[in-house]
Amino acid sequence: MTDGIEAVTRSALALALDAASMRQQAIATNIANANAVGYVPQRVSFEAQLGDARRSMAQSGRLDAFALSQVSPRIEPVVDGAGAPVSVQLDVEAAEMARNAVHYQALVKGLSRHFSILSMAAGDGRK
Amino acid sequence: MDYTQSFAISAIGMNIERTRVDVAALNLANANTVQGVGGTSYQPLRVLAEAQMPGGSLASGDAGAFGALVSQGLEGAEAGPLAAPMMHIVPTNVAPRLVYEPGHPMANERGFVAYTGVDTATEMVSMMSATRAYEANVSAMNTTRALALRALDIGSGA
Amino acid sequence: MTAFIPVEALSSLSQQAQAMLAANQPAMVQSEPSMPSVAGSASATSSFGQLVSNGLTQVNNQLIGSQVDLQKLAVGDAQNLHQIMINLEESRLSFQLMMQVRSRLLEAYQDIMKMPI
Repeated sequence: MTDGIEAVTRSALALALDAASMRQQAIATNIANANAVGYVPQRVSFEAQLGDARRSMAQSGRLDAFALSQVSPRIEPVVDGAGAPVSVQLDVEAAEMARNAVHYQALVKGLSRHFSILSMAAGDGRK
Repeated sequence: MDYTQSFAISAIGMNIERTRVDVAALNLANANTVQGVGGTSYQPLRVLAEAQMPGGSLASGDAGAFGALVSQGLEGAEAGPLAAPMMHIVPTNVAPRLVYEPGHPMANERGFVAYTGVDTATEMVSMMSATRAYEANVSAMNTTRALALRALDIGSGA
Repeated sequence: MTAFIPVEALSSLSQQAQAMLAANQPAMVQSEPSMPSVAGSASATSSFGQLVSNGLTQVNNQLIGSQVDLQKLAVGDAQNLHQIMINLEESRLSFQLMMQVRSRLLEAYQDIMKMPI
């Protein structure tokens, strides 16, 4: 089950879950250090690395396992155009936290439904 | 609609209202500053929020840079995916408030001191309305989140 | 592919069903009233197999569509969260239905094989 579409879906969802939980941590850190002097806000770079994967998906209609393997979520500092660190904006962080929470739950739901379909197939239609 | 954009729109709204409160606080702090003789004076600032025309495609673009979506909506770089207002902070050109104080060191030749034309009542009212609008934006964001979570429940349960 | 196992099972089942009907055709001539499908069995076998394959392809396509939707959600291209959930649930239900149909067909086949010739 290395290259089938189910395996690709499972690893894509798992990777996205990694990124979402990392993002939650980054946001919590930003909020905790909102008033600290000289603090550089953090952000997780994940979707930005997926340009190749998106292109191949637009062409072939499904996600490419190799394109996915090149992507790894990582924490990076938030800087504006001139390279200077931006300040923490609390309401933007709060909105991003809400969005990230919804995304995480959607990923978890999707993954569990995916596994329930597979277990239905593996279990011959019986529980 | 992509729920990322819904949250970004609410974040833009909250940002604008918070800026309004900040600007009102700044104006109030400068309410009694004196205009220098022939020099610069403090012009009360005002937040101008223009409505953008919603247009373009709902391209997700770089969905990871949520902050970029928000700042794009705030500065109005492209009036594309987001239909949220654009924000500018502009100084108003009000005439200074002249008060007759002949003994004041900064009085002009006729004995009038020029204070900045900040209307305290207006600033207080704008601060209150900005607070209410902020709460409304928070409520909109909470509702969006609740709806999205409900959508996840499709198909579960009986 | 665990999701394709029932696909292969059903297509082999359909082949067995076709072979069974073709083999029993001369024996079934006496009990015509009870087997109305025998009269057109020559054409009925191919259409039954066709029916099964079409249904399988449909369910398969639906499942693949849901997988691609989930991949899009993971990558961040999710346009419509509720549509993704609806499609996912629909594909799951059609898969369940197909499994039930397969079980009933298997039961029917085993019932018929138990009949003494």
